[in-house]
Amino acid sequence: MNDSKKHPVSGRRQSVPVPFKNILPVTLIFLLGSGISIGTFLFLSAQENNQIRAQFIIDAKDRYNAIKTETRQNRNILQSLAAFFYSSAYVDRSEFENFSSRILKEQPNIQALEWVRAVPDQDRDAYERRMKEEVSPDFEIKEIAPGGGLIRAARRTEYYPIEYIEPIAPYNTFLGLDIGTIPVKAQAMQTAREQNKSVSTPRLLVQNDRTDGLPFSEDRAVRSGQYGFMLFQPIFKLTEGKSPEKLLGFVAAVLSSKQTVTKAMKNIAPVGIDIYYYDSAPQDKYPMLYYWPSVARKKNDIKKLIQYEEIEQLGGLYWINKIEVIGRMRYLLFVPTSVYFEGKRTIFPGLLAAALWIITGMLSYYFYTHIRRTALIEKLVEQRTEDLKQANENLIFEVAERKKAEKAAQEVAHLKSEFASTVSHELRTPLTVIKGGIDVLNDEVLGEVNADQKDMLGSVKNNVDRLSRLINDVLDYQKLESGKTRFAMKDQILNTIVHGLVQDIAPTASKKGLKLIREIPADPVIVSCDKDKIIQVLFNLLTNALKFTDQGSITVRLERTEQGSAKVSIKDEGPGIKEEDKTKLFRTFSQLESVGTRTTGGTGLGLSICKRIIEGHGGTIGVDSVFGKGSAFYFTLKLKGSSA
Amino acid sequence: MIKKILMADDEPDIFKIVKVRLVKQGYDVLLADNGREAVELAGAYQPDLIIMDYLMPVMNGLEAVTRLRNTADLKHIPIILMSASSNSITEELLADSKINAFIPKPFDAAELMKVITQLLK
Repeated sequence: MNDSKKHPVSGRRQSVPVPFKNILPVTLIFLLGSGISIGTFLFLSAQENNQIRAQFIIDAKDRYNAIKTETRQNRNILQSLAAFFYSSAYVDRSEFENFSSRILKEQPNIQALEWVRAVPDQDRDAYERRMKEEVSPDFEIKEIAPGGGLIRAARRTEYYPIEYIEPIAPYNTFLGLDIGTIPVKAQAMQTAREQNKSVSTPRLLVQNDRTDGLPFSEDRAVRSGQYGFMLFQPIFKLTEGKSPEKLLGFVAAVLSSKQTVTKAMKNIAPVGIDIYYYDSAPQDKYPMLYYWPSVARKKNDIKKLIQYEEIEQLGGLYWINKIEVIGRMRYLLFVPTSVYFEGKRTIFPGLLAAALWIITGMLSYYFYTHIRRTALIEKLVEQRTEDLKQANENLIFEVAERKKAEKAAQEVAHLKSEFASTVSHELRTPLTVIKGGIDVLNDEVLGEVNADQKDMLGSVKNNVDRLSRLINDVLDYQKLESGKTRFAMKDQILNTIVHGLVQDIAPTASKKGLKLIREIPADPVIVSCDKDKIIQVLFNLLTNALKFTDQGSITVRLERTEQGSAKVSIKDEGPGIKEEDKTKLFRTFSQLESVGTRTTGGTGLGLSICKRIIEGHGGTIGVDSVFGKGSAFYFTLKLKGSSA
Repeated sequence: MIKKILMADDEPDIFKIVKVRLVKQGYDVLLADNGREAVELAGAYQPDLIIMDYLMPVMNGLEAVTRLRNTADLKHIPIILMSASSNSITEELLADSKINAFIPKPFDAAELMKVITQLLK
């Protein structure tokens, strides 16, 4: 098989293209899973957002209510101050200071508390004199100069100077200031007086300690909490059964928006909600009173302030509600900061979605690898099948080739034997004529032949016989060699065969003057063999012995060996065989040069034919010899009935 | 009465060297060139013995022997198979008594004459 076609299972990291139709389900699983993950995330997020929204509104309302409570308290304080004035005929400066300072200590959102007296112009001089004594010698009713600073107030029908103010420091410079000259305050006082109720001014700068030297900026003022407003409550002189009453003055409170909100937030845990405080005056304007950044907010996170007009464009979460502060509508906007969500937005939706997505991914990957492996296996099976097919084809081809080769070999073998028999036949036919013709002449069938002619014919006859034997031997050998010889195995009595053969060669032996000695036991030695073939062997060995022995004796012996064999040996007194020549003896076409007996007419095939016949019978053949003394050729055949 | 011998052989030279001996012995000898001729001549000539070659053109010795043995008035005639090729077929024929003797070529003249004399006795 070709090497490149081998596919070792391990060691192969081959990428197999996965068909699109197989990828499709995995892709669908992945997309579906991803969709479910995203959907889950969105759903849970929305759920969470709804919860957060609900919670936010609760949180915003808590803050709103806290601020509302605070503002209500402011009004109550003002009213208690008013009640203080109503409850006594005259409140002197020290009484006011005692009362006020106690309130201010508890209410840090109140910048200042004031008593503003209403002074008609005819009482101005008397009032100023009285105050010079009570406060300081340079007391007078003042107003704010157009270029800043305080100057003596111009004449008008009624003045509203600040008579008491708490805390005194740093406001004592404002004592005597006619706040009726400040339009927004005058407006509020007017309304309060007309309606006999508490009234708030619009937004005012209530803290003007601009020590930073920077130019005024509303944004900075809002952030630093400089804005606030004033509350006025009119105080009338109570006359039994009579109304309209005479106006005595106003109690007023200066309120800081910053302090109000800060105080309200003091008892509420910070969660990260920014508060915007808007005023709603004058007219349709909504100036910002204060921006309360969540305590939880990071210090440097300064964001752009949201103006009231911008609220509508506000995306995301917010809550707004109006708040009535002493007859005036104000607005509180609550906006969550990122900090607010930090505590609320859990990682749960994301986590669950991520988990789902990971599961989707794993599932997709699993299916993908499964499909890929299936594809790989399919490919492998395909390849294996192909290999198997190839191997099968190869095998079939090989078998066919082998059969062809076998047939060819058979043909060759057949041709060989055919050739051998044909050749031998073709050789024998002319030989037959030659031999026959010579015999005819030699036997004097056609008339007398003289002695010289007869001698010559004898030589011819000898060589024709020799050629004839050679052809027979070659054919025999060829048959034995090719395994075509079939031995006709029958039980034979070796004694008889040996006797017969010795009988046959006896005339030749006696002609040479050789003594033939037989050592043959009386009881029959039975072997299973092809009689003709064994005779051939025996004849060959006997002929050799006669050939090579010139004088002395030839002993033919038959015996049983201890190993359960019959042994036939022919011992001569010829020249013997050198040790080194013994192995050459049984070789094809081998005649020993040392013997110098080529003229004796051997073919050189005799012993190799004998060897093959005996070995074909399962026996052994060999020679014992002492050089110069003679040889003893022997063969053994298995005894009938012997298991050895 | 002179014995008649039919010899089938495609080699006239072989016939010559056999015939010269047989004639000297006083036999009447006829040659057939192949197996078929041998069968035909056997019917007409009614020989006392047939010497049959094995390898011959037209019809070989085996076929001819089989034909002769299957012909009623010829089956008793002794047959000597004389061939340059010895193989299992000749051995079988001998074993089945379809032929009476086998003489390998090149033949030994003395043996051949001995066998002929025996078969014609």
